[in-house]
This record gives sequence, C-alpha cells and structure tokens, in this order.
Amino acid sequence: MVKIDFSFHSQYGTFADALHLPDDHGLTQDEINAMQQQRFDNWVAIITAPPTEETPSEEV
Amino acid sequence: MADRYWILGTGTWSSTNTVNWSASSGGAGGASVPTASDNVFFDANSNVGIGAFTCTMADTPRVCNDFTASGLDGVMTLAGSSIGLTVSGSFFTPATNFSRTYTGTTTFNATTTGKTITTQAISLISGNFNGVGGGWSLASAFTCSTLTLTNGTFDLAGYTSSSSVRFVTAGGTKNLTFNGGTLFCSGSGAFAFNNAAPSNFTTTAGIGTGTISMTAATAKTFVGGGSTFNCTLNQGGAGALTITGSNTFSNITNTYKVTGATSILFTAGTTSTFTDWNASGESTRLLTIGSVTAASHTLSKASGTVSSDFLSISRSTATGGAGWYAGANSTDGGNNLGWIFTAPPAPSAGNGNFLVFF
Repeated sequence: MVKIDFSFHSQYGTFADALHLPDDHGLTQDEINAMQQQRFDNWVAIITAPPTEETPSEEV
Repeated sequence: MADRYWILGTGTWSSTNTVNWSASSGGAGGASVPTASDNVFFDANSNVGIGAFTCTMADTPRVCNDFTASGLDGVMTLAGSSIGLTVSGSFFTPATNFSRTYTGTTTFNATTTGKTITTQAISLISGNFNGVGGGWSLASAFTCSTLTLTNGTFDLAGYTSSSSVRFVTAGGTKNLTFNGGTLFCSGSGAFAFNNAAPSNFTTTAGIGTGTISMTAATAKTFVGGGSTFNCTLNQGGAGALTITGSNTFSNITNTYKVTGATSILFTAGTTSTFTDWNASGESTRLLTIGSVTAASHTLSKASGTVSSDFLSISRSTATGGAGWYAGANSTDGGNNLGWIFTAPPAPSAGNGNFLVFF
C-alpha cells in the first residue's frame, strides 16, 4: 500500500488528506492529482453546504 | 478472533446469514457471522467477476473488530437503513470503488490504543468514538455529519476532520489530539461545536499547531464548557461566532477577513484566556469583538503584546498583564477597558551599544 499525503490551502483553512493506493495502482501523476483535487472539491462542497441531518452518500 | 471474508457479491450482512461469509478470501461460504472480535474483509474476491455489489447491513448494529475494504475490483456499496456499524478495531475503506449508503451511526469502541481510521473519500452520517481507554488516529481526512467524542483519544494526526452538523462531547473520559490537524465545524446554530460534557475532556496539541475552525456562513456557537483548548480557535466563516463559557485557548484567529467582515462574540460575564491573540480584520472588513448581550466580557492574556488591527470593539475588558493593542485602525464602540486603540510601540532599538568584529 502506498500512502500519499497531500494538502490544499483555501479560504476555509488547510485541508489535509491522504491517498492510500495499492502498490500496483498504475495511476499516472495526473490521475493522482485529479483524485486529490476531487477529494478537496468534495470537502469544500460538504463544509459549505447548508447543514442537514443526513448527508448523501458518495461513490468514488 | 477470526477473519471473515465477504463472498458472492450482493447479499445481506445480518445476524444470521452465513452464505456470504468465508474464512478465507474467495473461499467457501458458511462461515459464522462476524462477532465484535472478528476482522472483516471486503476484497477482489468479494464480488462476482468484477461486478458491482451491495452488502446490506441488517439487525443493527453490525459488529466487527477491524473493518477492511481494500483491493476491490468492482464498486462495493455498504448499505442499510438506520443500521449502525460498531467497529472495535481499525477502519479502512479504499480510495476508489467504495460507496457508503448506510444511514446509521458508526461507533468506534476500541478499548485499546493504536487503532487507525482511514475513510478516504467517503463521509459518514454519524461517528461516535466511544471506547474507554481507546485510541484512534486518522490516516486520512475524516468527514461526517455529527461527530461525538464520548470515550477515548481521537488523534487527528495532522489530518482534517470535518463535522457538517456538529461536534459534540458526551459523558466519559475523552481527549482530542491535534498533531497539526484541524477540526472543521461547518454547522450553524447553537451547537456547531458543543462541549456538552466538559468533565474529563482534554485537548492535546501534539506536534504542530492544531486548529478548530468554525466555518458556517450563518451564526454559529462554540460551546466551550469552560475547558482548555490547546489549539487555535478560528473564525472561518461569515456567520457571527459566539463563544460561550470561560475557556482557555492557545490562540484565536480570523481567516474570514480575506473575504468579508464578521464577528466574534463572547458571553457576558465570562473570561476567555489566551496564550496568543491573532484575531484581526482588514481594511473595510472590520472584525467585531463584542458581547452577546448588553454587558461586558473579559479577555485575558498573561504577558506579551497583542498586536491587532481593524477591530470594532465594544463591551470588552482586556486584562491579564499583556498589552492589548487594538491597532490604529480599530474603533472603540464603547464600554471597553484595557484596550489601547493605537498600534503597539515599535520594538526597542536597544541602547545603541554594539560590537564590531574584524
């Protein structure tokens, strides 16, 4: 398993996350960058959405 | 303790169904339903071919020791309406091919330390850390609607934990450790951060600077409960931030100032103690410091100099021994004590003596 720490700095603060990928993941750096960006975008959507009692599920 | 592997794709994880459980990856079915001491695995042999499959939990709560979903070659959905999942060990879900639709509470009830929580891209409905003596460290960002800390130590380990409705403490011995991580509370209203059970609640800074950031665009309240917060409290959203209780903070900041004006309001009659104060506004975006009601609050810092600016201050008593400089661009809204509405004096140039080495 490969662990890739990453973070994004935004007006809301720093988002710090990690990707855990199989050793043979075969992803390009662009694909990894896109996954990280998606994580950040999903997080921004969650923390900026009006609060609800239940959040929708996410498929990744 | 035994290992249990999910097989045959779509099925029900109930208290009685053994068809979908095997003692080995891709092995024969019929193994017993996992107990709280058994590790459960979902892997490339859990589905039929590379097809998507759904594991629907029934008979709440489903229990296991370690929960590991890894190496999936088809999209797995973990489902269940109002079904809780209680994990006594570590929790791992993969970066891809995993969906969470179950709507119950995920309870982490380990009673030993060294457990890891790796949720990666999924968010949970409700998470409850409730194991006496338990210890969990994040290994990726963690997101849920409501996060409850009841018993044990929850270590952000430098990652981001986000609660979109509220963070709440419950009766028990619990600790929040930062190690450079940030707890985002994006909920609004009276209980966005609710230290409802401050007894036996501690915080640990660890390595680096930890932060609790209140980001809602509407009014939100930090219910401190009179505790010590070894972290920075950040006003990170447009909505006024109300702080209740006489609490102690390492620092207070306002990152929303780059976007607009906002407020930090304290409960009248409380004393908030700070090691550092770095909350300020910006030109045309003054940060309002005031009380919730028409009476004063007290801010205390033991030593040093507060060097703030672009504040609009009212009903605020600044004390403790530090020099509280509001800055030349701040406004005095009245009923203040201790604030100095100038910039702090320039650092001393010394006595003019110096040594020259050749």
